[in-house]
Amino acid sequence: MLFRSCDHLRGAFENWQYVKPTPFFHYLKVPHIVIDDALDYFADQLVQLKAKLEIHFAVTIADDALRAATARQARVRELLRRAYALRERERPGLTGAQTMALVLLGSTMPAEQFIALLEKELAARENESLPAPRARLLIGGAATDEVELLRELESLGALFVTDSLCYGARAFWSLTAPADGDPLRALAKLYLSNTLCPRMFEDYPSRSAFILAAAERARIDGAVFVHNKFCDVHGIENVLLRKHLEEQGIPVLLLEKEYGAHADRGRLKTRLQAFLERIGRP
Amino acid sequence: MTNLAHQGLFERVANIFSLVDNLGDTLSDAEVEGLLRVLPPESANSISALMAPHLRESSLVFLRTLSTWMREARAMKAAGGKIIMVPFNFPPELITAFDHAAPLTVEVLSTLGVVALEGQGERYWDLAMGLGLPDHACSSNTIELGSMLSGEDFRADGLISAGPGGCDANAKIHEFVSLYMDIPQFVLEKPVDRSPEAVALYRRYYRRLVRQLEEFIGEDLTEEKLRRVNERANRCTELYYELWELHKVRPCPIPNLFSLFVYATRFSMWGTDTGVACMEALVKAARARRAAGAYPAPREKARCLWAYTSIYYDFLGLFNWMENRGITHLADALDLFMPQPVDTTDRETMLDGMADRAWDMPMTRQMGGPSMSAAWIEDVLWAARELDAEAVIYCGHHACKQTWSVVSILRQELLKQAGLPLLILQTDAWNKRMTPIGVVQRQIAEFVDQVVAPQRGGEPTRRRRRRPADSSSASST
Repeated sequence: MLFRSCDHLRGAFENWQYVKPTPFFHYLKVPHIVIDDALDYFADQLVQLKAKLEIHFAVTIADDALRAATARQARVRELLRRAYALRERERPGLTGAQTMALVLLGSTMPAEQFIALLEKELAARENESLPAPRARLLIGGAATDEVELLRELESLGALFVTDSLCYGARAFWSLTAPADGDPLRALAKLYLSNTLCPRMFEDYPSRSAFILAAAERARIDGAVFVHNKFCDVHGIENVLLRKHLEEQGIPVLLLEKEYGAHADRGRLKTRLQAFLERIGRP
Repeated sequence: MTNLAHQGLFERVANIFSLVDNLGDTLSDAEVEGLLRVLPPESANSISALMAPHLRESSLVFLRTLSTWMREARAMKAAGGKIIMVPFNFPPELITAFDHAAPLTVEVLSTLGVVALEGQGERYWDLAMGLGLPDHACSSNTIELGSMLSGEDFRADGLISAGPGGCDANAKIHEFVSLYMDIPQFVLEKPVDRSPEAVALYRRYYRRLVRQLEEFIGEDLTEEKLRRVNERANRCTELYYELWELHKVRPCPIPNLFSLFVYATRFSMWGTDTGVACMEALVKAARARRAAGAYPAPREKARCLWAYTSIYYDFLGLFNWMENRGITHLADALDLFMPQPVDTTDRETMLDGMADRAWDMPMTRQMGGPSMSAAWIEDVLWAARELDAEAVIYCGHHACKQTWSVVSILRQELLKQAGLPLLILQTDAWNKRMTPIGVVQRQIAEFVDQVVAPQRGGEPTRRRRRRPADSSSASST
């Protein structure tokens, strides 16, 4: 299954389907603007997806089951916010790499198990504090699920105390429990209206406001925005974010990276080291 | 005195094109020679290509069309009207329909800068890069938008973005300029879906855009205004298909550069009297050439369709270079906007028709489908069969991630379904820094000689011994 996020993902899935078709294949059409017409269309797309899943897998997806699943995800988001509170506090209890690992874990395992695991982990971390970092940074930008990369960057002594990443705060922060009623329409509204992704248009103010709020909450010394080579949506938007954050007195480092490439790490660490010197945190 | 070195792209291009208004309808060889001597080298190169004897009369009409387009925009601005920047995949006739607004098309301006200006617009690209924009942005729009970002160019009053759904790079750079320069942006998204529900949604999006523009420009788009442009657009459509039919003739009587003339007219003056006159002139010239059995080379060696854009950074020389070697440029994908007449019965039928025409604009139509490769393959195959193409060439513009991501599927399907070979080039179609034109020429020549000619029943050309590298060896391939 794929959904319309960016040109690259569409192309990747299309090639996959062309070379090695899968028994079930569905393309979820996601609007990139948020108006009532688009919401109606997206809600209808979810109805079509549900019907296709039910037919192909010979299952019934009941409204009650959808509501229960939605409630579990709401609990996951609540716990992740607690994790971010630990990370963002004066003496952080979690590193940026550890937090990313948690978010990734949550996206790959059943919610009930993740909730139990996360509750236990948070309880254990509540009273732990990491050493004061050289600098408190925000990391934002494109699809970045490279935990090892964050770990290496943080080895320079800075901590990513908050983020604006696809596999991070942007994936859950602004999603609040949907209102009662038709669960599919509620889901459509929840996800379409709260997508803090630069693929969405007419919504930049929400994205920059989200980042500025995180910056204030986490009391950052600077921000690092990354984008994977050839990612237009983040590569272009990051320049705008730099302008607006620097106007607010927040120093910004822009990094272009090769996705998942170990060979790139040394260069990125050098750039971050120079940035830390630049902002007076050598 | 204005420092020309610090002028923006539009002002510089518009000034150069204003010279065209002083030229007669015909030019002798001596007059062309004189013109080439007074022009800067870059403009002279392009004018040299455009003033080839078999093209000259049509080129003059075409140049005058673009000159009129820019002059009218300047006049509109001077009169207090609004200049709306549109992307190439948005039909400009919607803006032309307003009495107090004029469209300027970003990619057309970039292309004019590349073919006519000293430095080929590189300074504007460099300026955009200097802001930190990624080098995988698209030069087709970033050159002109870089000029706007410099603050040295005129300031547009509004921007339309029709990129969402068709191209991330296009959509994001327009949004960037809007937010960076605080210029209002109006978004027309294409649902990546061809179902009736998606068509209906797109028509609603289009009407939303019309309402936004009416409010912004402060003018109602009446039925009469819409009919005025649509009647002319419909006439352009008739002429487009007349040219299309003439393209089918072997050898092709239509000069290669007409492919570009047609879509440049589509992206600028479609729906105006000037646009109609330009299309009429192209059809008239094509008819005359057909009657005379004219073809620029001794024989037509290969009939080629370009799968996406052409290449523009060599001052239009590649079009004529191919033609002189018997390689016909039948069309590129920017010609594949498949115009249909708009029903002018009333306002609603016209808005529906205009929305449908926007849906079919190049890139939007091909890349904005549920599958990027399916719609693209369908159009390229259809055009190739219609025009009796023997080969397809993909320019490989580096910023085109959507086409690059599925071009291997296109290549396999063209071979499988029609036995058509696809040549994949690698360039930046608007920036000469990436690939020497000699390399492009050599690849095309080898493709035609080694792949296309044998399919036609000819023998592959035997390789000549490589000569020591110099600039002439590449261009003489």
